[in-house]
Amino acid sequence: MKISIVGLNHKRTPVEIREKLAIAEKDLGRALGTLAAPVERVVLSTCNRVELSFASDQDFDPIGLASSFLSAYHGVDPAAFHPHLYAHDGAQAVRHLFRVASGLDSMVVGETQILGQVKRAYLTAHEAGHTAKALNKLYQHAFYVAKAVHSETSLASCQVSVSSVAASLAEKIFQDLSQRCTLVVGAGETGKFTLEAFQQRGVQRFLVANRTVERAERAARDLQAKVVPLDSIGEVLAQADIVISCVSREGYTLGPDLLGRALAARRQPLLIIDISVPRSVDPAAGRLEDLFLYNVDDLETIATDNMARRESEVLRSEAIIERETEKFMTRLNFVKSEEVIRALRARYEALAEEELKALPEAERKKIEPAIRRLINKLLHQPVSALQNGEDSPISADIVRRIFGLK
Amino acid sequence: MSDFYSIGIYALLCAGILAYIASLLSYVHAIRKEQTSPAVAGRSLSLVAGILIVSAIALLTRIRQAPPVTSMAEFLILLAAIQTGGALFLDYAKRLGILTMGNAVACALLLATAAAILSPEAPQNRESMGSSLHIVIFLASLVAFEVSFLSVFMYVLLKKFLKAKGHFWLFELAPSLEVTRRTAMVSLFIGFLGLTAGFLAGYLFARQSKEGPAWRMDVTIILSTVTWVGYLVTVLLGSFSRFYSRRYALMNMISFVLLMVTLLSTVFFSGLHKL
Repeated sequence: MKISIVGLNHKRTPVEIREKLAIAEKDLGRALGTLAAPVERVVLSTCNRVELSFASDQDFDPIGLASSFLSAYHGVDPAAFHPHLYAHDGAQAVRHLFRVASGLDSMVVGETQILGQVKRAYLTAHEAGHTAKALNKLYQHAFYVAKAVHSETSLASCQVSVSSVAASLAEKIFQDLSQRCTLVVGAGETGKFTLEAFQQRGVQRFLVANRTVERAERAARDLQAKVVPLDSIGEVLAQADIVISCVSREGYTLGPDLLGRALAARRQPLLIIDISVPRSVDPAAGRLEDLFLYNVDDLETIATDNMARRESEVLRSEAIIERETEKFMTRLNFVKSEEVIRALRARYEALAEEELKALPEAERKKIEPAIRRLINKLLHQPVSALQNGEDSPISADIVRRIFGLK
Repeated sequence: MSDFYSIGIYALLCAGILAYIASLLSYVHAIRKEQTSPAVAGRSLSLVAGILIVSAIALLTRIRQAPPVTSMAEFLILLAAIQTGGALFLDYAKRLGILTMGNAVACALLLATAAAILSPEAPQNRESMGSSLHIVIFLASLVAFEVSFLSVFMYVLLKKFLKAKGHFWLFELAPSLEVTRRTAMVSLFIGFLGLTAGFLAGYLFARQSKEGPAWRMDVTIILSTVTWVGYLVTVLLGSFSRFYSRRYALMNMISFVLLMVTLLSTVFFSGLHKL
């Protein structure tokens, strides 16, 4: 059984090429059907990667298959993306899939979104009938490994970017961010990543306040938010649960008096993320009860601590993946070996039966026990080698080839 | 109590203690290694301990032919069972693993004390259904108040860490501030309702008892009334004060201390409530 994974990802392929080869989730089933080859297959397509998994008992060229599929489906010249393709076979392919499912190969290492994407890709292929025993076992094991990595390490909680640290802090205070309102003060580029991180965590309600109304309206359009003039910020502060301040001017925009009045009108805490440089929120406001104020230095300190933790968590995750890859390969080889042993025994017994059939009954009865003993002796050495530690893909496949077993 | 049942009760209590200790060690391992799967094992072990205690209660009920609230030992076993149920429910529903961890310590001590003082002989004065109901309701409200107290404590700690902008891995086990606040408030409200219902059940029982009006001057009743007032003030503060003021947290803690004093009074001071 040959298992291969071929694809391209954000590490080796520019986005201009990736976007040409991406396949929407709703089209995956149809796309899989266009691949005319007798192989098991799953296609994973996300914003950062397109990967094809193949498995078959027969020999096949995974790079050729993937290249021709992507080229035919998208109408793109293979030369445009061929240099960016990577290919993994056997244990390397298994390890790669485990790493991808666990988030170790993601742009944000440890992210958990990828697992859902891998599951959906597999289910689409499975329901369309494009997977069989090998890929079914492989993907089920990949989900188990991802779960083990997430539960046995704290990889997912090691946020290392300022924006994801800010979003994690918000979740630590408010639990469900989809019910929360975020006020964005300032409409510059600096807050963009932080806003994206909050959007990814489920924040849906945004208010945008800026000195220049036109810029505020532009930012509000992107966020589907309401615009608030900067002078009226005091009236809306009480509605906001989270304030992201990314103002680029001297002086404090928000002070303890204004924030104290907002807190008095609320029955909830208030989280303020001040990513302006220079700071736009008076640090004295941090002393207010129920107000949590973080500036960019505070977030970077947490991100740096998390980076150190993440490195050790990555090592632990890799150890889990290595262990599970070995387990999977051993099981795969064991199953392969068992199949080969059964096929070999069946072959010998068929041959013996053929010869015995030609003999008269009396002679057959005399010779048959000796023939059976001979078969067992002939099988003993190859069966022991396959069962007891010399079982490797090469051994099982070589035996299969030598004896012409199916 | 026949030897068989006696051995059975002690075996169940010892097994429960071991399960709680194993649960606590799993949680400690989870914190030290920063892994969540030992915490899952800890939760499962607490569930096993809970099942063992419930089995011990069932066996005691069979032996006594009456609700198992006839002695301090039985009281402690029942308290451990209700506490474990409450902690596990919140752990599964709200990821409050820290409650199960704390509960393991408390219940191991409760069971050890119960095993040490459990008498093989059935007490002479059997409790009626009315008084048993009164005791069970109070125990349930006690557990609700414990949850509220621990949630307030966790809230204060979390807030301190967030204000100090520090990081502690226990964050990963702890729920959000919002969840601790809601848990504290809801469990406080449930506890208050239980305490009030327990008072009513006790009043109905006392009216029919032979002690008559002497109940009114019982030390436990006086202390329970003070505790009830303390919790009433806490509930009102929670309803009207902004988010989670220090006054609310402080009243919650003071009321819980009063509750503990009331509980101790049943052991040391109260003639009528003495177990």
